[in-house]
Amino acid sequence: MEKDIQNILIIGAVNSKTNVDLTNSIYRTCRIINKLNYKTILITENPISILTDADFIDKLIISDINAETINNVIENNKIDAIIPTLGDRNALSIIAENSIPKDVKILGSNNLAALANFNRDVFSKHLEYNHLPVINYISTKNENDIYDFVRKNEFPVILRRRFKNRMSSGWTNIENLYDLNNFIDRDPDFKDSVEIEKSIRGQREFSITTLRDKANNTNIVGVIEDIQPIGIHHLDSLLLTPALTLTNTQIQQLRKAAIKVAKAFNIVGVCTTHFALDTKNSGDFYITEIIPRLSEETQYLEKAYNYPISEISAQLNVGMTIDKLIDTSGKKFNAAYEPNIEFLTVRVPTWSNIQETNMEPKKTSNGAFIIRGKDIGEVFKKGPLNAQITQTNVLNSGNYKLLDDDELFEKIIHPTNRQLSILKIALNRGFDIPYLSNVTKIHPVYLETLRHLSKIKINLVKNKGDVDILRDALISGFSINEIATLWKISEEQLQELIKQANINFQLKDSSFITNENKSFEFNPSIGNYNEFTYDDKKQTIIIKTSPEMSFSDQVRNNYLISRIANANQKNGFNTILVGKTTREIININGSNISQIIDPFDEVIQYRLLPKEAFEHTIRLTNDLSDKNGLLDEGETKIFEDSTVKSNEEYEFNILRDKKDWVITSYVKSNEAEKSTFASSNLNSSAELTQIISDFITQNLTSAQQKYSKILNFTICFINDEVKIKKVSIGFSDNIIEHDIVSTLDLIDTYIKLVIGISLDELNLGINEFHFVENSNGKEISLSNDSFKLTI
Amino acid sequence: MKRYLVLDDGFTLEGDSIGSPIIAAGQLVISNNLYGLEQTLTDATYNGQIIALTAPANGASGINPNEYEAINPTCKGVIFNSTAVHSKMERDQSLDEFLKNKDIPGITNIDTRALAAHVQEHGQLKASISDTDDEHAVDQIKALVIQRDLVKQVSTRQPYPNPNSGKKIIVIDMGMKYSILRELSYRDCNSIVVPYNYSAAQIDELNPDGIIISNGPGNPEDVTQTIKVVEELQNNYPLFGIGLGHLIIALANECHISVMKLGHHSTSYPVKEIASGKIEYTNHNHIYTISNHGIRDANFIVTHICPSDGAIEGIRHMYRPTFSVQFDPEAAPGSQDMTYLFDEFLDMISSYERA
Repeated sequence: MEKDIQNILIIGAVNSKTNVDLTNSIYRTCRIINKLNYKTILITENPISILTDADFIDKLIISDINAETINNVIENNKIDAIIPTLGDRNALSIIAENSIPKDVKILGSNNLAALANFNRDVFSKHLEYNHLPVINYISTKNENDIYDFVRKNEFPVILRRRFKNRMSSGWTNIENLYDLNNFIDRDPDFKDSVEIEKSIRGQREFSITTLRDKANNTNIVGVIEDIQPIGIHHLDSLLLTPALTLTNTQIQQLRKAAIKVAKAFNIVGVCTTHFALDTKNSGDFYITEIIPRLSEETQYLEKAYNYPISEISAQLNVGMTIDKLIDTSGKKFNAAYEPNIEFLTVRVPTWSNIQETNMEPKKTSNGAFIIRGKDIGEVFKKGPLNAQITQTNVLNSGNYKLLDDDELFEKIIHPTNRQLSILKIALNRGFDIPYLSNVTKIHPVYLETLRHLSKIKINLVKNKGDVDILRDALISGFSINEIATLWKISEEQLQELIKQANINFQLKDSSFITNENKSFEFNPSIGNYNEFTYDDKKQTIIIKTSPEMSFSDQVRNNYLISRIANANQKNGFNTILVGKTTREIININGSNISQIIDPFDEVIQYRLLPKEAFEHTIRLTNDLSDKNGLLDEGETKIFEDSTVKSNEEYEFNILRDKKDWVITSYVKSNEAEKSTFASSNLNSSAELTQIISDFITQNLTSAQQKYSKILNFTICFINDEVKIKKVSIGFSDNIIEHDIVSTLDLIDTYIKLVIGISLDELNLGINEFHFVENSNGKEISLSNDSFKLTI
Repeated sequence: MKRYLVLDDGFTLEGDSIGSPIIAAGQLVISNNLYGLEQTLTDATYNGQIIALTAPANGASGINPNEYEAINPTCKGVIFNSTAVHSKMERDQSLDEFLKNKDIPGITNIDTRALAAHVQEHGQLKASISDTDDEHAVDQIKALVIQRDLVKQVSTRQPYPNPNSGKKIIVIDMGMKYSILRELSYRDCNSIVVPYNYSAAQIDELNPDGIIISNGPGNPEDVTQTIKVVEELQNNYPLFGIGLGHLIIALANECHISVMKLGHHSTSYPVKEIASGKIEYTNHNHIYTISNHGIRDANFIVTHICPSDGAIEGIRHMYRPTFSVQFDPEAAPGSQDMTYLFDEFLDMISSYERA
């Protein structure tokens, strides 16, 4: 361990919707470094997701992140070391600029590695110096150089122009001399320099993540295989681990190269290397990129292999050796192993707009989810072909069946994000697998699996009631709903058949069987060994979630889950999280929340949880297709009056039981800024109280509305009159601010109401205007360029 | 087609058939190998055993004959977690065809987590792949006796050369993997492979520069002939033991052997070199290990241990030119971090010659 370091600065997230959300990793890093008795100072641009009372962050600084502010923080806080690996690209670019003072240690990365992440020349030269294969590339203003390069390296090549302001045009694919001459003729005087490199379009993509400690002990976490080839961005294509289609020799080649890369750049910590594998000249591979920080790939591998990369990387950064680490509870932890895996894990990218998008070398997706399964077909059915999760418009996929063969082929050679569904239709029509594999460069195993899925569907239709085919279909990931529809029987009848055929669904923990650290994430699978026990001594509150389509929804739900779990524990309830995909749970107090991954929403049909477990369910989703939940607490609008317009709006957050209600807090917003206040700051108004009361008694009509415990009223004061603009039930988008400023513990009170305790019994001291009086209310104010929290 | 996996304490699991339809029985081994299916199946260390593979979607890349470790696999049967559908490209075989050609029965879609949990509780068990799961099948597997001549079944009958121009190395074939010969060929070694019961006098006559005792199946205490040969040769020649060879060298010097509870079966398991503290990853396939007491009295130093459970993984003699390792440094399948041990062996031979 580094002995002369005391204060460590961790560079956190910037306000960007395209960067990866590393909030959970930041928490875990801060917690483990705090346990090692260092002082943790965290700087972040993004206030909302870090606003919790975490005692392992010694100082939280909310400000813009650039070289100047970082240097200020270093001076004012006597920083001894920086960890930049949690700040995505921005933190690394500050390190690459070399503007940090020399006496401050940089942990986990270094100047050279950070520079190689951005600068092509540094990257290529350093890899060539270490005898590692990298793509041939030159940058020139001389026409002869270009022709020489082509003569040596053959077509196809790709070219682009580098403009004076350091921006560049996109890459152009050049297949022959005619295209090359056309490209040069567009700028024959070479005003801008031209970059040319050998084209690797169509080669297969892999990536390996390594961990290296200061004694040069290196191990790999896992090998990720891309189903789609180079030409489609790594994070837009389907990622799969372990790599199924590589032989042992190829994997060992890539592994040795990845270990050599970590040593060549002297990275102490985590590093991900991207490879391109040429299957025509077998044995040739190239290194295309290195990522010396935590990223989407490490988040994915953490979930797949249940190997805590965040904690391990942080401890390696401060100089510990890999077999003498500690875990979050302080016990000794030996991380010197290459983790094993029993479930195939895929990472499926999602696009927030439901239109069909073309896939290209530039990233277009904005989210992802993780699915596990034993079989490739199962993982496809539960993941990319599962309309409930990808929320693809069902009508859209029906339209593909109307296209004729030529139009379908057009869609195949210009791949879109519906590629797998389109390929499935093409295979049904009899397109040849070797031919399709050659065109799309997808390995034939995956195409064969798609065809196999179609075959099973045809078999199901032909042989209604056949138990062997039923078993095949369930193993390949068909949902109970789909089979029941194809056999035209009810789901209950199908459940009886499944029981008679002795097919048991069980919940299996996703960690490797001999691993002592359990992951508490359970996947339903057919088998003989159930690893989840439903505790019926304590009551359970189930939180149901769906994958969110927007970044702010995700932040909001993550916050709510950790607060609700905390409140449940205080009130003596168990929490189970039931969701369609894996979630990152932010654990403040370190306790474990069980997660059940249920991609088809059939956990009751599988008879894995009894019906009474769902008695208290909180649903954090706007998905109204949920058949098993009773409540809907994702925000649902029940009233809107669009004629009410004003410059200033007030959103009141209200908790209610059957008889009474209380205003916890309110948000005052206009065009420039938004401030949230505790309700005790209100100027009491009898008219306001009356209008809200009337609405509650008269307009909450349906069972769902009547049962709802939390409401939001958006109100405008126009000419001293109180007008309701919008009413919704459920947690609003501003719930995090409400929770922070409210004088009563909002989430804890909410849970008590859900359980059945009345507001009366809680003795909150509600006054006649329905809020709690308290002289010290907190205030949060957020404007377009600043954030302020005052107490 | 349905088949059943029956263990000798009555535990049964149901699965689907793959490969040959014959019924087979043997000792159960759970292997965590993630890559290199061909190399795992043709490893002679699994002679007489039924291998359970916990990796998902086996056989997706077909069977590649360039990666065999023996021409004919001798394992008794294979249990798969799940298998992928095969798509025929070029000249490779599918997993099903390969198993049928080599007469190996298999069973797939087995819940290997249930199996592993059961074995963790109950220890080493015998298993059989059969068509029924009634009492008759259980009785049959209970009556199975583990053979004691497993090495004889896989060792070569006649000695044969692997000629080259460098140092002359004799490999005593206890069920060796072809990758040992590959590693020696990379280093230009002129090697000769001899059967497990070749006498010390015959080896003496060939005048080797060094002797490698290879990996193999079964209990090392069963191969008494080889232990005697090693006792006679160890004072005169540099020795390198791998796997079973490591245990034989220990037994030839009056050390003790014990059975591990679960054994190490994985493509990349960690090994720590005590002198430098370096941790590297390599292929392991063993259930026996040398006991700790008595090792110093036999004049051995422990050079490598396993950091996760402290088992002895490598020893070196204090004054003789002998060292041996429990794992497979030639690593097929698996991480090739420790293939430099062959270089160390050749260096040891050079320095012994000069002395």
